[in-house]
Amino acid sequence: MSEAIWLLPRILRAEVKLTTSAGVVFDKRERESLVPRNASTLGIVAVLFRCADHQVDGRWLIADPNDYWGEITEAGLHISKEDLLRAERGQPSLRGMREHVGTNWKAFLQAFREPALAGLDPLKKELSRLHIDGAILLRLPTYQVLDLDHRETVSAIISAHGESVAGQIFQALFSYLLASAGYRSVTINTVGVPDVELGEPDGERVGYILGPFSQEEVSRLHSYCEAARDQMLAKRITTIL
Amino acid sequence: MARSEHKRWRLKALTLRGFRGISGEQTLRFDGFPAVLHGNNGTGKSTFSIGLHWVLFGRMPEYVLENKSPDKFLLSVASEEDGYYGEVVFQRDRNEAVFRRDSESNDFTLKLDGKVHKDEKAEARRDEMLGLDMLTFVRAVLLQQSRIRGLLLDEPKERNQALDRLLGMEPLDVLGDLAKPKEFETAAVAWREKIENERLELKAGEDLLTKQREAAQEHARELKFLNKDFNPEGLNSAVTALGRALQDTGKKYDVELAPLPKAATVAEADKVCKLAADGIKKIRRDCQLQTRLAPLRVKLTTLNTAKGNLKSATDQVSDAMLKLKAHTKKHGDAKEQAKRRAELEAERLAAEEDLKAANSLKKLLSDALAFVESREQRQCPVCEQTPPPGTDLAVALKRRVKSLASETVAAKEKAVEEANQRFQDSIKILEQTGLLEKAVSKEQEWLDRCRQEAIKAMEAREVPEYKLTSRLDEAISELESEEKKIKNGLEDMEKELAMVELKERNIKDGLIPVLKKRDEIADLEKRARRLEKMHEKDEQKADRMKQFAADIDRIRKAILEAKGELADRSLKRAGPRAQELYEILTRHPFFDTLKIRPTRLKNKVEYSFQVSASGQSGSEREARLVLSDGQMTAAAMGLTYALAETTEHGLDLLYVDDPTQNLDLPSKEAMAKTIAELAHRKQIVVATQDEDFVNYLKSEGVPGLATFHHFREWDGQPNVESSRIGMKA
Repeated sequence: MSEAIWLLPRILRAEVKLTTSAGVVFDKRERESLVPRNASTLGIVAVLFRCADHQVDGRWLIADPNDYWGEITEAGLHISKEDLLRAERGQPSLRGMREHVGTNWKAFLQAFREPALAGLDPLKKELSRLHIDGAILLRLPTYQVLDLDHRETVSAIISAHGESVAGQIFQALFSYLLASAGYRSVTINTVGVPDVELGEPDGERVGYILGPFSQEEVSRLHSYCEAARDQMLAKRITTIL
Repeated sequence: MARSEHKRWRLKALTLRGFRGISGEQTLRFDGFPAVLHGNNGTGKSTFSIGLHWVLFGRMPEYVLENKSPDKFLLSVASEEDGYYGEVVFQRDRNEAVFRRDSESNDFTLKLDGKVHKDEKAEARRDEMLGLDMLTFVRAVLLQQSRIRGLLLDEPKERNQALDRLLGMEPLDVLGDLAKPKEFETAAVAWREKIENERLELKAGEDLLTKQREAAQEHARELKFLNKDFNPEGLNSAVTALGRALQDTGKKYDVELAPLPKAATVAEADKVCKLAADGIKKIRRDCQLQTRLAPLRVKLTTLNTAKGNLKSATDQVSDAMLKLKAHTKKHGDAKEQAKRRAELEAERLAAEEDLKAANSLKKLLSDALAFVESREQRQCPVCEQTPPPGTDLAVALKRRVKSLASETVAAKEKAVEEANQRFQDSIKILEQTGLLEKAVSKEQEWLDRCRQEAIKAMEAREVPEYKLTSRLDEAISELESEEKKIKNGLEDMEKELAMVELKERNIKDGLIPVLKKRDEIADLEKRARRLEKMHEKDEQKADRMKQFAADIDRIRKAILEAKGELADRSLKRAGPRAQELYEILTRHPFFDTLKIRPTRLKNKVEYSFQVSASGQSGSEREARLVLSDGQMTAAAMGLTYALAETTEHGLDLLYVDDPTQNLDLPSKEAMAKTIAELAHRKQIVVATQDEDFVNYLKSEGVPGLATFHHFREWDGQPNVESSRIGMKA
């Protein structure tokens, strides 16, 4: 796990999708559900690709649509993988979240491969139980998971359940992975929007500093460190707020 | 026009030393006036035009002379000096500009306005002053007919090149040659191909390793491993299980073993498997069962040997005694045998006595016979009796001797022999009895020893003889029973060790190969990630290359466009004058209009050099196809002069070298008129060997004073006679 100091938004909403093509569409309703209502709420999109592109296959691409794509239209938002990659480069504020997900995702999926192959319900039960016990990350294997095995697992889950159910399975996995950063409450909406809502950040559990900081305040903090030439501290302050 | 009114520089004087055909020093004076250099070929006229060019610019155009070794071309053929020198003086009103160049010191100077500038500064001032570069100089000032030869050639490329030179397109052509997008496109393609090849190579490597790993996993599954085992944690679990099994077995059989270390990598697992194998060996070697078994076997062997010996000894004694008994039964005991021997000895002696007596009698009779035969005795000397009458005493004696020898003595001898034999036999029998008794005694001794050994082997103090065998049997049976227990125990241990060995072998043959492949895949993925980073950079490079290619293509197109525009402008500007000169110099009865047009193609600008009949549309023809060589030459010269006139620069000079090649007389006359007309506006210097042309020039006249430099026979040095002539105004 990264040693970054993370400042968690009180509520984190996410629209989470799996795609086997080169892009996804977020409709108006989905986008509206991600609009932050106050300074301590954040809405993100997270897309898992499986499209024979080694660069993105099996990886979560995460972006803040409100910050990057702006206006919400009736037509919805069509995002390609290139768009998401560009958005990632253009949104360094989400680096911490991406780091947490990126660092742990392969091991996380490997740890829950069997329950995922068994089905959505057994998986959710298992994840929920472990999350409540605070033991979810203890299940992670200590060895490096091969990219090959990781891609194979993603494919196996899609093959076993079909894209639709597999999408829900990956949604659940993503939710609890993100929640392991320090959220107690995990709500997964199978029907409504947003797909996922995380709340009740629990600093004690994972040792992160919490604070009622706004994004603007965190950015100022970051810039004060840089101005004071304390690069080390500036680098360690990675905000996902 | 008076000299003082000239705003541009005119040629005043030209001095050359050690230069080409000039071995010493020679000066031609012009003083700003028109001039004619007249003389046969090889008299040194061109030396001065080349000298003028060299002094000003220090080098020739590459198509004239490769500037690598100009000395061979420029050094005087007759001079003993190593270098050459030149000086050109220009004048403008009262001002003078003096250019000097020395090949030995490599100096180039310009004296202007009282200041002397040297080398680069001199070059900069020259450019500023003259307002032209070398290429403009050769197309707008120093006009040589050789430059238009290309226009007469059949190859379109050569004609185009000639026009390019006339229009001063060389710099643009040089730029155009540099602007080659293809190389960048090729580089971009090469970068992308490299990326693609490396990606394919990685993919092929990944596919191969995946297949190999799948095969290894399949084999591991046959050995009862599961998918969850095919990773470092699985390996460690398997190794831990192996260690546990080994420890348990060691404990059970009282062999102390160091615990096996953890193993999450292939190298560590290999080491652990080796340690496990050593541990198994140690258990086999050092277990209690093994340590108990060896001495037990030794003891058992000893007891069995003792038992065997005992039995054998007992049997031996028995045999010996039986033999003795049989012998005694047959021959009596020793006492009886001794008695029998004595009797036989007496018999032998008696028989010998008998024989002795019989032999004595025989001798006696033999002697008597001899006596009787010798003496014819009638009375027997033995018995002293006289045989009956008719009996021959000798015959009778003979008969008696013979009978004694053959019967009696033989019988006696036989009796002796037999008595001897019987006696010898009895001795043998007695001896044999002795031996048999000894044998019995020896066997008995051996039996006693075996008994002692058996008792010792049983580790007992005393055992009655009659119990010895049974006690031996008991001891042996006990030990055998214990041995069997130990053996069973060892068998069980072997089974357990076999299980441990199987675990170890399964890890080595089943799980480690899977992990090895896993490691290879991990290395490949690491390499792939490194390559991906490089590929990102390479793709950026490829994109940049492509962008360069596009930019360069745009530049190339812009250059072509500029060339086209420049050609357009130059030709438009010079067009009317070119038309005028064409009419004067060519005088074609039908094709009286000259049209030179640039056409922009994809990769070049092409020129059409056409003539047509005025007022007749559709009459355009390519000039070289309808004009004679002379007419083409005249047309080209006209164009050259028109372009030279319309080029702006700081020299008020036109130096024309041999303008009448290929021209007929009327054309020469026309050329002379043209030159004379030009002399109204410029300082014209004409070099020619053409007598007719010179006469035309003289008759046509040039304004003001003109200088005639007449070049006589060259004798290592041009021989010039100069005169100033007043010409028609």
